[in-house]
Amino acid sequence: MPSRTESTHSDRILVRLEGPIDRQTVPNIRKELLSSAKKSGFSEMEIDLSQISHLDTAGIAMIVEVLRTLDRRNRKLRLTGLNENAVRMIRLSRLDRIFDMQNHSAVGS
Amino acid sequence: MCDSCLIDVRGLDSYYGNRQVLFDIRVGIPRNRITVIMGMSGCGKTTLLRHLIGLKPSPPGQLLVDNEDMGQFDPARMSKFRRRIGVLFQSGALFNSMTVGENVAVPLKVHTRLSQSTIRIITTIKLHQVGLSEFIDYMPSQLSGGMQKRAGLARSLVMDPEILFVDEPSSGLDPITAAGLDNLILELRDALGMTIIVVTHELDSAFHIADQMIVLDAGRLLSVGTPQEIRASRDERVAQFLKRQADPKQEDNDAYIKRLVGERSRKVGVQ
Repeated sequence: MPSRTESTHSDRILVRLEGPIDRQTVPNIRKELLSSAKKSGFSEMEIDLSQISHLDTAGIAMIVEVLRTLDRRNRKLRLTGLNENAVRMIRLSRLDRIFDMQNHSAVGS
Repeated sequence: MCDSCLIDVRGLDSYYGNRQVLFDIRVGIPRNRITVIMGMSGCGKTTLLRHLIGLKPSPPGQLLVDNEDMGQFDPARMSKFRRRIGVLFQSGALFNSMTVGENVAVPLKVHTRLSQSTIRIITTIKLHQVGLSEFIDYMPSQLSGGMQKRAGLARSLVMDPEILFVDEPSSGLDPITAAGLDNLILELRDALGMTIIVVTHELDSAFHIADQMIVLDAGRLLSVGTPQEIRASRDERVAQFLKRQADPKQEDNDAYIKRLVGERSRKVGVQ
């Protein structure tokens, strides 16, 4: 089962995702992630993907939705712990231009 | 016997009524590779494809997927297999009453609980991959044949299939669009390790993308090998096939006559 833990560090929210992030699990995770993105009192959200087992296009689409929600509030999204599968999916989705992909992390704003 | 293969075809015979169209086909489809099925018109390429995707039932013991006998799949097992595959048919097969985006989204709407918003983004991503994201709200009738085919490909990719079947990807496409599709097929293999089976009679495209080639002739397996092996084949019939394909003037008389008759009957139909 996928899970999600969240912690706040000064003006940064850290969300750690675990397990598969795919079309089966996205409907459950998405609502919570979007409501976190809408909270007040932070300027950057970090999503740690180092513990995920699988990422498909639905997972990528969910991240794009989070990015859009943050962007409307002038906030940044940082993706960390990108494994090879995640980097390949982002590249294949032609979204590597939206995210600044460096050192297994990606920043979108 | 092919333990490492995703699909193992073991002596497949196929019939339309009493007419036998495939004879004792024995070949393995390796995982994470591109297999190209080639041959002249009417040689059984598409029939073999229909067996591989379970659209035409295979006799027990003649076609194995993950070492399981597809000929004995019950409807639930077949449906599980179908969720792992994406298929692009020759025509593209879009619904004319839906927009391009709605067409691409159909499998997601039917098989998932994803929100409209997520589905819209996935659809955009897939259309972007095939170079059609600007046409998401167009109707299929507003697209050229080549664009419709690319939209069909986007739909076949929308569920992130593990296995992709493509029937004649290049037919009706201009050379640049066809080369773009070939590159996308290569990218899907390299980036996702997708197992891809392509039916084509376009030699340039076949040699560009294939890891393994299957050459059929009149329903029989003529040759199987890497592109290098097929090119170097000393089998006279393989050499003849490659020569005939490369030179349209040497096309089979049969095919030529069939085409003429076809054109004539279409003209008559228009008048």
